[in-house]
Amino acid sequence: MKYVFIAVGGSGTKVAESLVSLLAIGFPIRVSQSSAPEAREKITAEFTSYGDTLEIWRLDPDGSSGAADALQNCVDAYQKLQGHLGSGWALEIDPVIRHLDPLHLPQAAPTDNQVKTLEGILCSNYGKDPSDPFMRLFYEPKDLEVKIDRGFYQKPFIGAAIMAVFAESLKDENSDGGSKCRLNHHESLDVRFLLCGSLHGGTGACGVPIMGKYLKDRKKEKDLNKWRIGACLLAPYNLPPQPPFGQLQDDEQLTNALVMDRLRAYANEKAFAGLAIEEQKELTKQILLGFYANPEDMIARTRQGLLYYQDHASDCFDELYILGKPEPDQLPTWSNGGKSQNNPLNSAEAVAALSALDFFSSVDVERKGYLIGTSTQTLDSHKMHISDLPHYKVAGVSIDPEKAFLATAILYHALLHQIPWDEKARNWNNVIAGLKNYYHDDEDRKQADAAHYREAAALIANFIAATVFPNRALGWSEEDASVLRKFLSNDEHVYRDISHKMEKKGLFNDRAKEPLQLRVASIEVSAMEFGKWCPAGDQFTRGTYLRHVWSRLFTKE
Amino acid sequence: MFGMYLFQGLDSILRFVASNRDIDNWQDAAFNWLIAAVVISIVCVGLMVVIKFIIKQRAPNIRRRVWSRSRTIVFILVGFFPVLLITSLIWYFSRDFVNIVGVGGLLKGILFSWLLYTMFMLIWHSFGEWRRDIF
Repeated sequence: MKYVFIAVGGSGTKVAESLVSLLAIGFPIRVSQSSAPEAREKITAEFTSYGDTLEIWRLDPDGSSGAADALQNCVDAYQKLQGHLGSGWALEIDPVIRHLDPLHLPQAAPTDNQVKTLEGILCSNYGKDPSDPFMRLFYEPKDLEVKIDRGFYQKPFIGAAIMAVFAESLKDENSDGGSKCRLNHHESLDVRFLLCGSLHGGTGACGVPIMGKYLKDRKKEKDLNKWRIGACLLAPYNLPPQPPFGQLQDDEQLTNALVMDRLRAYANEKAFAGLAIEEQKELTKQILLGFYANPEDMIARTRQGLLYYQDHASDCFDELYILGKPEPDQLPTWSNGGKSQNNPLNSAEAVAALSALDFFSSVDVERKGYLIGTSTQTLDSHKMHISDLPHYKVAGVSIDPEKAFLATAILYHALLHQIPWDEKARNWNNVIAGLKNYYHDDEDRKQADAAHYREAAALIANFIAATVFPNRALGWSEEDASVLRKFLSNDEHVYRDISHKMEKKGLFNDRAKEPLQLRVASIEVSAMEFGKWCPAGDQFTRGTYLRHVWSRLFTKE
Repeated sequence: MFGMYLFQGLDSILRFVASNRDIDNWQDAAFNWLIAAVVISIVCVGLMVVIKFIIKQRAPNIRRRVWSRSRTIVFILVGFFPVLLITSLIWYFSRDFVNIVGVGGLLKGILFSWLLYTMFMLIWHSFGEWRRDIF
């Protein structure tokens, strides 16, 4: 199975980052059969994501956004993790993120589509007919003239026209977008496309329905029954702060003097840092003309977006996920795109990533409709617990995200602190028979693998921290993080308590002294039980070993 | 012929063990001393094996259950002490052993018990899971 995650705009990009993190942490999307020598039934079902591939497309005119850099770093870390573990841990993610720039359009002449404004694109000579008469009817001059190479500034009506031209260009495999998407190649494959973007923004609000409609039309036209198209729409969950200064009043005119005046007064603001003087002027103009994400407009724009889906776009999708926060989190810094738009991950993005996993893992191809997650009345969306995350199903089994996090945290601790890597493998006894047999005659291999495991574990710990630790991500409770920190600690004084709980109960009782708990989820496993888990010899790679142990931990009560 | 060699061999061993051969039936006392040394070494091997089994079984985690070669050697060496103690006590509480075997025979008997004990312990560690503790 191939999955294509189409991240539209900044929010979609952050959800893609969260999705990659969850996959690195070990979240499964399918079940595979595994033979376990120590298991009585010999063949066990193993929860995994390994065996499938994921491609990430990023549809955003803002090619230099900080969110895109963060996503690329995240995918690079994922590749590193895969490199350390070999095959078997998690699905393959194409390391090349397809950056689809909706402003990079086909040209009939070299001067076509070069001016990155709405007017510049739509009045390009490339079109069949001149658009100018219509544009003047629908848009104000400032809408036509604003530079849109950093997004559509919460104005989907600007982006919609561009997105429509871009979607049309995908039919041509020689166009920039067409060559990156390779839809002809995908026509023969079993593919699940999930589009993700915000309802209240600019790029997401216009890009998701238009791309969804394009894919649906193509599916219908070519009878591509193996395609499934879903979308995840994010209502406001982050509130940007107000810009450094306000926009022009109705009776004020934009003049160069005013721009320079504002620029002089606010050039030291963080939003202007690192920008060339021309970029600073352009940003000042955008703020003065009101081309920025205004927190006061977000709810109204979301409402408009939902109405649009209700009337025109919901039919484009086999499944539609809608989520948001009753009380959005306040972002620390203001940004209007570019490198400075580098927000931390948010708990709402983790929920959106889980909806992607739900869509990818769904076996019921007939399932259709809206999926609106509901939360308990006691949920504090500023301080969510991992146990508040929605469950999804893999092969009919409910996947509890809290238990998945706990299984990975235990795996980290057991792998690094319960296996006697410093002892020679020949001295290991039958309590870790599987690993002992594998490393028995090859101490060098054991040492090399131990180093790989340490590196991989550090990367996994970093993925966990970036996803749910409140000092690195917004909207999480410190309570869960403090428990997870104990599992992920390499300080013996800190993890001693966990090791103690994993000790065996009695002389002839190998069960654990106490269960290990996060908040609600718990797993009772002793070091002795953990030691016995190992995949069959001919299947052994570092990744398959970890996946086997993870799956055993996850399914343990 | 073989029986004669065996008798001569045993006789010389008994002579080696008995310090005072002027007392009647010194051969019986010397023979009993040898048998005692064998029994003591076997009992001590049994004792140490049971102790090691319990220590290993009580180990709460994998790390504590893995024994290094040096730890195993130290454990075997610790077993020398009960061998020494039991041998000395048995020698001390038997007038025949004190009179016939004497101090020289006691030292030879301890040495013999230690040798047997070490041999039996190594044999025990040659099979199964414990093999990796030392070999």
